Amino acid sequence: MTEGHSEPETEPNTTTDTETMTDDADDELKTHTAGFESPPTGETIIEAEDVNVWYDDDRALEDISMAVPEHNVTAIIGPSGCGKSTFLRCINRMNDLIDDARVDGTLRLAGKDVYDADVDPVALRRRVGMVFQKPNPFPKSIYDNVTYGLEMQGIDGDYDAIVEDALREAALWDEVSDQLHESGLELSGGQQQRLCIARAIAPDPEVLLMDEPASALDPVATSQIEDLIADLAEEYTVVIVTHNMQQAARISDKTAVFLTGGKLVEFDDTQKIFENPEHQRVEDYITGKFG
Amino acid sequence: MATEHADTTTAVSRTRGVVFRYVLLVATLSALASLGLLLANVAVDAFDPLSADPSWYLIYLCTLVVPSLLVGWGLRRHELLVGGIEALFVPIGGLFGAGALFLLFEVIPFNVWFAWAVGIAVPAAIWLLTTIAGTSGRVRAGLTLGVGAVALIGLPLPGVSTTGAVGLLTMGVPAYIQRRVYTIPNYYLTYLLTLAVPIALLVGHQLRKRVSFTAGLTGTGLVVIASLAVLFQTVVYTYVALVLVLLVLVPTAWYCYTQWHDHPADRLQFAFPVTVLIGAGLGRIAVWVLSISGPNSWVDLQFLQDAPTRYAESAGLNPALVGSLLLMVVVIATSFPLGVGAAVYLEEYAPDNGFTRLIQLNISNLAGVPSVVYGLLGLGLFINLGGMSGESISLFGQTITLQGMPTGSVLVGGMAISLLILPIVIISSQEAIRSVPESLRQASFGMGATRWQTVKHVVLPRSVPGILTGTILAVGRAVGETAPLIMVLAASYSSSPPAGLLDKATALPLQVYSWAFEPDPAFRHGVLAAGVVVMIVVLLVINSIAIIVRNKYEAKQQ
Repeated sequence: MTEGHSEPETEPNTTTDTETMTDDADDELKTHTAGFESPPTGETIIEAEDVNVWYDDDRALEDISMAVPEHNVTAIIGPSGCGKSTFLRCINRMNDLIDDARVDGTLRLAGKDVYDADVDPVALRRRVGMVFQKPNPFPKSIYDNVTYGLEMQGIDGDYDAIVEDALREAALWDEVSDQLHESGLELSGGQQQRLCIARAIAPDPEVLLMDEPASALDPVATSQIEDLIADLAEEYTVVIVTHNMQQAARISDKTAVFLTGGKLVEFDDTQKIFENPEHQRVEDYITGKFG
Repeated sequence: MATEHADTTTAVSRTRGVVFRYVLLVATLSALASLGLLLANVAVDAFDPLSADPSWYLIYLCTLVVPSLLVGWGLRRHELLVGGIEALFVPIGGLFGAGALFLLFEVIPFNVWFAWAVGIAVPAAIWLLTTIAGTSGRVRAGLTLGVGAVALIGLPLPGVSTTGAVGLLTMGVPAYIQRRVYTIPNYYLTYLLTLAVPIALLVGHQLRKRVSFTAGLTGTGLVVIASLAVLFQTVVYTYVALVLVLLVLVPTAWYCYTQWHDHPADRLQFAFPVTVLIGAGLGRIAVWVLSISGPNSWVDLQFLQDAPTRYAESAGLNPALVGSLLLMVVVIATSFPLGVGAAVYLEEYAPDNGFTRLIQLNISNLAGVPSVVYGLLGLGLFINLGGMSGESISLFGQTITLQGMPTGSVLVGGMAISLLILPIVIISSQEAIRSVPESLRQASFGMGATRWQTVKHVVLPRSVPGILTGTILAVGRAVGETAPLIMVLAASYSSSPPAGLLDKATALPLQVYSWAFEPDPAFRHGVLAAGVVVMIVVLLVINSIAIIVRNKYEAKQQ
């Protein structure tokens, strides 16, 4: 079957990231989180209650309960294989595409359980945009990539203006405004990922899910994407999976730490997690003792 | 190893590797050599090169071969040869197109073609006008489809007069023209209206986009002038000259113009085709002036145009050629939608369970079933209706006598061959669909696209080159199939090409097969070999189309 899906948990640069962490974890984190202001408290938009996911008989997530506030950046961090991507894919029901995946528990988006029988996963995904680990623009022009969601969702409007807005928001407009009708595959990796972000926000979703959006990019492109995410949080609720703890510290308001076995160990303000975590295991992970 | 650090200067033995490598080389070379010998044998029989005057070869060697080789070698060093060879393929492709067009009229009555061309012009004009007026996509599509349906099929209003404007409205344009218009324009005028006008407009449109409005007008004017100029020559029929101008001259000129204009640095590449053309022309003139006889080839225009006869000299394979082309049309029309449809279902929709795997396994096995079995299946299914043909059944109180399809017709033969290549089409389409990266499907689903939208906008566009390549190669195989045709009782000899899909027809391989048993050795050697050469050329053309389609789409994807 074509939906056979490989869990994107085997990131090539896992080692690189953890190595940097072990070197100067403490100093780095202090500087980045210094002067961190208390995050704005928004209404809860995504609320998970005892969410469990099984792949066949393997339990990928165990009783996850957390509440993601609106117009915030919520980071999910954890070692490889801890189920953070799986949780992200529960939110827009991308796990439905995997034949042997099974979800139970309650996961509410704006108060409505997305796993209710009357929820159409296609309609759900129109409210929840997604950006993937590897840039995956369609083999179409830049313009057609951005309008893809609009056309599929039957949204009418001034496409030229929407494309320009989306590309501006994704900080890509200045680089591509004169080549809108050339293939999106001709862009560099970082530009492709910003194109994917523009594509995801063009239909104006409520929530933007990002599955390690910068892990396949070089440091310059990564920092561009990070700046962008901070801006995006003004309009959208961003949930980002990352295994780069500095990245989580830099860009997120709230952080959830998943540890091996698909358990959510701690979920709190980012500042709290990085400066004064409740659990010893979280502290060990953050300071690079394992993971 | 006994020593910890072996002496690094001692060579490691590679004897077995070297032997293996040369055994492989010998295997490859012997395969190529046997194939080459076979082809050379066929070519010698078909073209009879020894019958030519030696000076004929000398003249062409001096005017064509040596200069082309020299120029080609010189250009090759500057990597300008490939473009020049491509330029030569445009007129050759045009000639094939013209040939296919003439063959088409062996089958479609001329007035039918004219009537439908006029009918199709109506929605085309609507579409063009609405595009110019800037009407929105849906309104434009609706208008074009609506008006087009009325123009082509008519409004089914029973009991209304069938004359005048009302008749035109109820019958549709094609039917009206066929029934009420008694003066059908001649060949030249029909080609002028149905071929020259669209091509002239297309050239003008492209030039206007590339350069300017004036240039577009000039381009249209040039095509029109060239189309009218053929009236003033007496070498060939005017309609033949017109088709050659439109399908050979115009595309070649267009190709040269774009290459000349877009790649100023590579203009030297035209040296090669020009050398070839001038060399061929000079050689032809010299041979004609000195009245030297060339090889007495069995493959010539007469061979392609005539029906088979009892005399080797005047034998031809036109009915078989037309039959084979029509068979191909039926094969493509039936196997392509079924095969691609099955592939899309199996890859994109079918759940991954035991039943799907069973079907998958069976499709793979069916690809290996001998072709004669498919012939039997075709005979049993389409002609005998599984033994039900000729029996009467009672349906809703009506007694219906079941009637199988006529034996040996183009339709039955084509459908039997379709059964044969269907598994191959399905498997190659599945491969193509499977090669679409999963990340693109994920991206599409993540954007809130339905599965159908994902298939239509992401999966199919991306897999079209692979699907087309696989299908065209399978059709190429179908052209050479004999067994299914024999089983459905196709004619092995036919003196006239089939006039329709229900006519009994023969095909190239059957015709070649029947020649092999003629008592006259001229048949068994010359005519048979010529038939094989024609079949190989048809196959090569089909395979080249597959390659061109793939390259074109792959270039577009990047």
